[in-house]
Amino acid sequence: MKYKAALIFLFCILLIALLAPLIAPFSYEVQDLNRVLLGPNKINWMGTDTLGRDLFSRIVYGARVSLLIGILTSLLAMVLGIILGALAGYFGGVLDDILTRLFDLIQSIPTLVLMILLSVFWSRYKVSNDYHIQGVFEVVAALSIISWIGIARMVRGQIIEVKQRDYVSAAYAMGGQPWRIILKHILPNIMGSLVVLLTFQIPTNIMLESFLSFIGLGLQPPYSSWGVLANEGWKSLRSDPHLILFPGLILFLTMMSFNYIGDGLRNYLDPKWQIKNFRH
Amino acid sequence: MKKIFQFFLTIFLIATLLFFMLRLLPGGPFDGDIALTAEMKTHVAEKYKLDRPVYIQYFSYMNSLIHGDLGESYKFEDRKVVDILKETLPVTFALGLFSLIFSYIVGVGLGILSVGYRGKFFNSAVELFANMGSSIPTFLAGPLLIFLFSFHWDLFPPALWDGPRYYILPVIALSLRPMSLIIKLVRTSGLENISSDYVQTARAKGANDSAVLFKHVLKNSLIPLLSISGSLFAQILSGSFLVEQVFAIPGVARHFVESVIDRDYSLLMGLTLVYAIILITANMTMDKVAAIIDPRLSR
Repeated sequence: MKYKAALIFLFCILLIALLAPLIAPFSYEVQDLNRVLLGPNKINWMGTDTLGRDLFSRIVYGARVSLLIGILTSLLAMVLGIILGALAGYFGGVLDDILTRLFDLIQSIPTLVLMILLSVFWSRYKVSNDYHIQGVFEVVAALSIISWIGIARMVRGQIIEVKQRDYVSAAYAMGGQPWRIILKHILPNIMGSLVVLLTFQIPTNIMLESFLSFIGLGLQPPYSSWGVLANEGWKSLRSDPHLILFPGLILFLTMMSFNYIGDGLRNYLDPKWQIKNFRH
Repeated sequence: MKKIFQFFLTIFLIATLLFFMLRLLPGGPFDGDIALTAEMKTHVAEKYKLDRPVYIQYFSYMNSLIHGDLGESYKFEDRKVVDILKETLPVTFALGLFSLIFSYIVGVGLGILSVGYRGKFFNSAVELFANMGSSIPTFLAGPLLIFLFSFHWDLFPPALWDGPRYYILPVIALSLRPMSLIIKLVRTSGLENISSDYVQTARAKGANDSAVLFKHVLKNSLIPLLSISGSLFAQILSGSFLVEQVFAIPGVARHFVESVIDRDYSLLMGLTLVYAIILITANMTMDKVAAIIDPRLSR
């Protein structure tokens, strides 16, 4: 029941993000100074902000950015993590040592601190004159770097475990090339854990992006992501609580849906899995 | 001894990594000050040795770091980084410590109780609470708490850090996520333990429900709890950034964000190093405690 609700909710959010220009009644940056700080009403379903921008439209466009960043960074981290984790786990040696050390090192800096430093670091690289693309690039580059190491470590552990099973030895004895063994025999066996990890990585990254934007170091207004909206909204909490409540609530429900689906998948695939792989 | 060596090695590596990373950041510390003429800028750069080659800056920084000197802040003129830390760190530390204690007490309590009431309404309620708590963004939880307990019922002040009455809302806001994870973990391992042989034995010998729960199951749930304490700690450190922002608490976070924007290298280095030292120390202590409780863990 709750899994169904979670799936339906996520599907709706995804649809809203994809069809944003069709669904949003206004553009995310159009200001109407005659209609500032209105509460929810018939024209502006979730009210307007200090510059008279329609909050509902900004949330709809924000869903685009937040989801895009969450999914893109998780996938990038996944690809990087699988390749490097597989290399380290299968071949061991120097790469394994470096990866383990690197992970320990990175784990000794709080995630948010690291993320702030990385996102500023990437701003030295100009990829586009469009500030939308540039902003997303900085956040995506920072987030991917933070997330891949955890995945690589998990893949490495799983590969070390699976490597010793008979069918892998058999494949090796029959002259299987390492990459073939990893792709054909090992990866399918850890696919379940990877999918679970991905379902938890996406919400974590959405959350991290919103945190970064919330403290004012991520994406900048008038660009809209849920974190940017929260950053703009919390200052007028007493007079206009709708500005923080709506974006916060949407983010909250999205997080919750992802977590429910992750839990469900995990219980389905591996009932004995313990909560030991989380971080942040 | 080996651990102590590792500790210093990690700190050294982080300091090195950070130092060069910060020098690679775009922009310099005084770019934002339009009022400065080119001449004044060279003068200032000279004062803070920013005109020297990077590797010389690195050696002189490392040299003073070994002597416990974190340098001077660029933005706050003539203020030592150490002084800024002395002023703000206790606040952040207290916030983190109170939250950690609070989330452990409530988390373990609710987790164990929900094992006791498994299959009952209380259990589902705790489960829902834990699911919500681990999903709620701090910038929703904080404002909600302020709105209800401060604006609506006027029980606690909405911001600042001037005494115990001010501590309550921020500590709750910061505790929600770690607390939920503790509840989930204690529940999972508790449910595993409750059907195990030793619990059956204890029951056969006449132990009642609460004795089983609080003596046997609780003890065995604590070990997995210790092993995740490091990440809980990291989570609280990260979370305190947001909570300090929401509740306008005069802690480290504000300086951190500002030092990033201002490219205040020495302040930023100092703050990050302190964060790293706290986290590493916490992790090592937790490992030690876990090894004492469960000797199998020390290999």
